[in-house]
Amino acid sequence: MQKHILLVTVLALIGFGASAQSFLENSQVNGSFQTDAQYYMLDKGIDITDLNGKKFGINGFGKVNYTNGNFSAGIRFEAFLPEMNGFRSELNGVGLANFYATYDNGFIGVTVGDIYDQFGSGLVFRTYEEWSLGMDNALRGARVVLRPTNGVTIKGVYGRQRFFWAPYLEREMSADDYRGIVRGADAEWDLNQSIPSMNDSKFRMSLGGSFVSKKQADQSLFYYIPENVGAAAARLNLGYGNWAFSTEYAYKINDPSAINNFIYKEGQALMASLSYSQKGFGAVLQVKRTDNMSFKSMYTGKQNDLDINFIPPINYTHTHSLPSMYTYSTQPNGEMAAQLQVNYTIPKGTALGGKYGTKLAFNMSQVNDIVRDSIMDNGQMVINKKGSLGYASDFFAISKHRFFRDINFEIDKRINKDWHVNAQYINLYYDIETIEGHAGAPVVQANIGFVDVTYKINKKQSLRLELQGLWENEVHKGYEVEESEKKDYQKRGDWAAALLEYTISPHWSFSIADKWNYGNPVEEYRDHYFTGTVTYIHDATRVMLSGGRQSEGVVCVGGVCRTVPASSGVTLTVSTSF
Amino acid sequence: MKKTIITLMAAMAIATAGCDKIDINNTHKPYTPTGGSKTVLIKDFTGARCVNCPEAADYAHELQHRLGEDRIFILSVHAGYLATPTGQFPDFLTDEGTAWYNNHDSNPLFSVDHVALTDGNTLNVEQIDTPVADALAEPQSFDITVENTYDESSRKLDVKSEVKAVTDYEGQLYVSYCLVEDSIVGWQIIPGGMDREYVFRNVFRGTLNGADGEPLPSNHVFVEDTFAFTHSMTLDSTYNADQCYILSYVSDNSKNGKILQTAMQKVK
Amino acid sequence: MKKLTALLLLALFATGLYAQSKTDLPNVTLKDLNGKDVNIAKLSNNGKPIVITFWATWCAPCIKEHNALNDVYQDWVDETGVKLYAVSIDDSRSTAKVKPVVEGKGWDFDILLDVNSDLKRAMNVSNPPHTFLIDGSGKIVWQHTGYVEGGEEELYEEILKVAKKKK
Repeated sequence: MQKHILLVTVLALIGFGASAQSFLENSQVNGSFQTDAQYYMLDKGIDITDLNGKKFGINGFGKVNYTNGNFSAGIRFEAFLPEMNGFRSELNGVGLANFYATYDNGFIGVTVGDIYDQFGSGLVFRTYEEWSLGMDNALRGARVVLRPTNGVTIKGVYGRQRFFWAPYLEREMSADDYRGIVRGADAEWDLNQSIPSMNDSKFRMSLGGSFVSKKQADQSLFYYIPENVGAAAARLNLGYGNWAFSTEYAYKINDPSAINNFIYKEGQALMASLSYSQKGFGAVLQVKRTDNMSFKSMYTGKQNDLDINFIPPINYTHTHSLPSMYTYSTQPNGEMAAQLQVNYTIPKGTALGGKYGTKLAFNMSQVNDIVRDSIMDNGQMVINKKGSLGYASDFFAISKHRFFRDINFEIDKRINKDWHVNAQYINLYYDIETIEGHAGAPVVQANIGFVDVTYKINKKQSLRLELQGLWENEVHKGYEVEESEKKDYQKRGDWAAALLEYTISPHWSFSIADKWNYGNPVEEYRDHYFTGTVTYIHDATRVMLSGGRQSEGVVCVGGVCRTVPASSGVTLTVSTSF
Repeated sequence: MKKTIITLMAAMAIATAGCDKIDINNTHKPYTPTGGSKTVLIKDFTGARCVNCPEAADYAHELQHRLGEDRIFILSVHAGYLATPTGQFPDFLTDEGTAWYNNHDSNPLFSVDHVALTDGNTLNVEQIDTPVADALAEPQSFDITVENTYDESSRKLDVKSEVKAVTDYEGQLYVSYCLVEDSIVGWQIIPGGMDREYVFRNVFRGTLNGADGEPLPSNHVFVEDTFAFTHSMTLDSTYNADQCYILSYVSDNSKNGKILQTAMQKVK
Repeated sequence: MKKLTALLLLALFATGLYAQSKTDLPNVTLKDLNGKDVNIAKLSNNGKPIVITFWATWCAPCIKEHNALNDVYQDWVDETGVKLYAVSIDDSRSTAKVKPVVEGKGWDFDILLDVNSDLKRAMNVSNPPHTFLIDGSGKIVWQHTGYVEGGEEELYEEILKVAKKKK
């Protein structure tokens, strides 16, 4: 199939190209590329005594898009030679990772090749690519989008998902590659756009529904694996004036998998958000419940492999280095979460607002486990037993097991033309045992704060100083950590961090930073992590060179995370687009 | 127009219809014995501080139970960071195990007849079903017999073994002898805490003839060719001789060390 | 397979050479904060320049850049008639937050939601913030990635160039 698609695309391109001069005049090409390269060095100070023969890691991609009116096509090459530390070793390789061709005239849109799309908020279907995670679950196949009237969109997708460099054709797939076919359809109806009298109404409403199924082969020696697994979702968005409400419910039939321990329970998810906003003030409350909603196109899939759906995490995304050290990652088997965020700007010209206004933000989010009760299976009370229905769960019950809580308050203030201050306080609860799988490690309970001050020297130059602190409430202070537990205490305890950045607009930025784990309960882990970075930006080209130590940590985007091992060395990033 | 949409939606409905609901009282597949006499060795790279290892070991044992305990052998090789002995955790590390583990960075990991191990890859436990089934279906090339003589007082063990070719075979042939101790009680991390009386099964204690074994005298063997090997060792005083086994396998280094046949024999 | 790939590449580049150097905005439809469809290819500002910025609620430099832009935006509009569209690439986890954040911060720009990263891909944006300047005829004339303090000055100079050309 792959070959045929390519052939058709090439022929179409050449055919078009040869026939019409006007076609060429309308042709447009754009593209981008990025290379991240790391050179690793030994560093006894942070316990890197062996590079395991890996001195370099290089991740790179180059992509080209071609557009001509309603037609567009593109390809993306990727190279991991080998992959940088912290990326999956299966990425190692070079090749054409992605291609597509689309024709879309507004009424009908057809895409063949690799498809990125999502239905609703993604609870039953979302394919996407996240370079910084080395994650790509594109669906190779076809998509049809129909827009029969204003405000109505109908989509259908069909294909097989990307699994690193594994082939897509059944006959080329290896024996332990059980990837199935994913099929889905979605319809959305926006009343305001489709009903003329509602076009400018204060009341806004849209509805949507989707159905997705995977067809997989039952390869298990133990269990009967359902070969067709379906999931459906329905959603509703309402708005009135400054208010907005949206909700989505999803359901999935029995889907035993390695992730859910081969239980046959159905999956459910419910998300809702309510927000109010007016000039200078915005508030949003979100709640979520998911239960057994991991949905992969291969039932033996692990980690983030081959996810068909996406369960959005609802918690604040921190960007400074210390608070982002403990970032929550979605628990696929179930969680209940709530979040409240309030943004307020004290108006300009008031006593507290000053000349520029003062921006305040408050966020609170908490995630707990769902309650799981044992069930009767073959005359025995069991819980989460393979081949059983797993457990019973009261939809509205919240388990006492708290995974995560984050309460934070932020203030952002331009004091005068030259000075700008941004500060945040964070109170964090992080169940590291569940989230990162560090068995037996005590929960992280920390207070975190930072102050970020920018001083504008003149029109072009500025200085920025960032001071951060992380203080853990109890991580066995003054307690002798046993040899066997040591590794669980990496990165634990108190931290201090500082960063000084000097920028010359619009091209240059120089920064030096240090992170110091001064309060680690294990003395040998009380390390400094110095880094120096130089960035040069020219239009759409960015070159960044940094050197120093990187602490062990987690990189998360959208609740999907990868762990980055501690390393020492030099990193070069070059990215450009045209 | 309308017709197109209705047709399209009907097509979608047909395409996605017929989801399979499995009868919850009948989720387990019946055991279907495969013919043949080829035996298979699963190496389970595990660790006492590896929280997911007990479950993976259960899975491997369930597989063994379903497909034949006389046809499938499991060797629990404690290796890697999570097996590093500290505090009250038991020390099951071996030089050979560490060499086999070859710097992989997680537990549990598996190899089936060494396939997917020596080429740098390893398997997660859910991935071993198919390789095990495939390996069982292969023709048998060798037959191994082991005879143990154990002296209670000196704790001296003499191992006499014969490796016999069942077919003609050409490769780089090696034979290995391993000491295995079963049912050792000790500390193991399990989900949600610690099991202080965990029963460790099939614990690899070391080899009698090196990490790679020793070569057969000839790399080109003919049916009925028989090779004899003898080894002696003294059992460590902490080992329970009643629970000890000799596990032996023939492997082919021209095929990344693929194991061709495995046999197991109690010490007593 | 490899030959076909190479051929495809060649075809793309060949047509690319013929293609005009200034590219149009792609044919991608996004939603605004009220859920209305907005086709990017059809954006127009009566012959005056348009700025499109890519940002996300979780991107600190983006927030900085937009706070800075917001401070000068009204002056720019008065002087050049420029219109700024801030495209949020937040995915479904934070789309509900975009409006409260934007309103809470008091930004005056038109906000568009690129929930599925369609526009981000079509315009080859790797990392936010990323800024595009579109001239009066709808061609992309300048782009810039990243933000450093005072970076809005460079953008303004470029806007002035485009605005002057029109006069």
